[in-house]
Amino acid sequence: MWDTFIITPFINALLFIYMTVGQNFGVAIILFTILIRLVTHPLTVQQIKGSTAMQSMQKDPRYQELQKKYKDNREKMAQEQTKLMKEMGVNPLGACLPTLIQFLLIIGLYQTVTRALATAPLDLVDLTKHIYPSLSQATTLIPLNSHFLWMDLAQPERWYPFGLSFGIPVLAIIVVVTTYLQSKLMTPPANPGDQAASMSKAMNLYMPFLMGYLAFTLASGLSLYFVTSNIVGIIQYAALGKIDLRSLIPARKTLAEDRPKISRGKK
Amino acid sequence: MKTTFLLSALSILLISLLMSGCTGAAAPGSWPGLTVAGDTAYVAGGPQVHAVNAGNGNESFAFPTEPDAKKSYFAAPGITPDGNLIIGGFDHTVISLDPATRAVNWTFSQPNDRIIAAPVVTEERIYVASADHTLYTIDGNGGLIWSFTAGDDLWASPTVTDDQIYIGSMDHHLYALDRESGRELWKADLGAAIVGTPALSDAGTLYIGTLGKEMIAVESASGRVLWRVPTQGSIWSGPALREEVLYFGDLSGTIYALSTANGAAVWQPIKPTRSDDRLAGPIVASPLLQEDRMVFVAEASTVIALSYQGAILWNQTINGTLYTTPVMTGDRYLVALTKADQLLVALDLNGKPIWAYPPTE
Repeated sequence: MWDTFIITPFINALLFIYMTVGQNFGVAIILFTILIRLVTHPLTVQQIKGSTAMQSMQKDPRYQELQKKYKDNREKMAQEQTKLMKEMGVNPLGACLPTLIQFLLIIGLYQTVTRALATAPLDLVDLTKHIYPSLSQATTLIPLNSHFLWMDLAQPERWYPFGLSFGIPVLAIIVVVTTYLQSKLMTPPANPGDQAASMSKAMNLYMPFLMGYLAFTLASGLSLYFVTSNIVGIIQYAALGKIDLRSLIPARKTLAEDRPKISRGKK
Repeated sequence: MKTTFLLSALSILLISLLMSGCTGAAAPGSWPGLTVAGDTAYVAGGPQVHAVNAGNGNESFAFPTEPDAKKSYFAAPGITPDGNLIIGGFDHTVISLDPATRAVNWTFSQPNDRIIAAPVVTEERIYVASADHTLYTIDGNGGLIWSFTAGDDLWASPTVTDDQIYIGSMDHHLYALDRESGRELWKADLGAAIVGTPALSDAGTLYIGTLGKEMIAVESASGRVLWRVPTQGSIWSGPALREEVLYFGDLSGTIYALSTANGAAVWQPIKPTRSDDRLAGPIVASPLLQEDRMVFVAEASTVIALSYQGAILWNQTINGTLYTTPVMTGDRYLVALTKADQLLVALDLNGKPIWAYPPTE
């Protein structure tokens, strides 16, 4: 089912783009990633709306009151929170479901790129099975031309400038930077003591390194997908006016976090 | 803070697992290569090459003795006139191994990519195609005589004659080389990747299928295309040639018999089924030709014996995926398995299992 509804259509779409853009797999990955991000744009909007509604609720005095009142009774607190969500019209799945769907699509994209590269006999036999009969001319194009700029998209990327004996993983570095930027720009300033925000903060720190490690060790076609996806994600959030530049400047953030303390002091 | 850390660690672990699962890092990459010399079958089926007694299925030895995660072997080993094994690996090396002593005679490390195709061994020379786009000609001591570089990967073994060598490449070209010097004599663009070994007729015509769903006849003297016939699926292996008829299967699971003269169908293509009436699936391997029958293997666990008139004599279902051309030795067929608990099974002439290696519990 996963192959029928996700992988096979994705592979054929990628092959169609590859044929259309003059058999350049790098350009095909970039265009395909943009296409998927555009098709799933309504999900991104829904996800942003859901998380904004959740944040508004968390700032509501009634919610904060609940947290204080039932801090020793988590079960009761959960019940009361659910009631409040209903009252305020907040759907707890509003942000989660679109994120989950997008996550599945990302996994699908990842598998598609890996399978389309087909660098070994078993992979190539498998790839031929996924090609639609209407796209049968694609069989004359496989294996795909995996060279893009200085990279072999089927291999981990390294750049050897000025005769250096060791390679610089340029793409992996760009993956780390864009993943960090994306997560920071999309994370709103946290409320003090907000556990979910603390978790996001920790994820923002670990994720770039995890993605960087994957980009360092896996085929660079996937790194290209990571970079494109990150950049398009940032642009999407910017277009929706949800980019928070304050997150990038630690000094300003500190001031913002300190502000409530100052006001408490005045009381 | 502790909970936060644990949740973060769990999320990252989940993503890592999903990603590593998606890469198929544990996938073998290819299917076993099978060669028989005397009463011993040599199966290159992953991290080791196994020497198995064809009579009873007992293992004689495995090379290397302990599996090495960094090494794997899938190309059918070549056998030199003095009985040494020529083993090509995914670790970019070619090894000459003395099967009597298990000693490595020499190692050829010049390739920069995997050896996917079976090495071809003649009286004095060894021809090794590598995924680094290069065909290497090596002498009996592992020394390079010449090399020829094509435009893309070489996954197919060459066809070697007294004077010339013919080899297909992923770059869509069929190349003819001078056997002595490796000089390119001609190349023919066949329009799609070539993964099989060409069959050569006595009349000097080459026959080769492509991933672009065509069987093509090419004049060996000039590289001129004589005819081309469309097929239902991509063609992986080279055709088998017998009495002016080409026999081959394709990845749509169809079996063909075409006249060498003009590519006309000798009998209508057939799509064999398993004993449970499901389709037998893609046919990757060339058939084994015998006096009165040919034996095909199809991906969906099926061995099919077919008469030369296109009648199915029997089919046998075996637990495993089948991509390797079966080998006949004595009164039995040896069939190598992919994605299975067993690596090799022996069938009698009616397709009934005799033994399996490793033995079933």
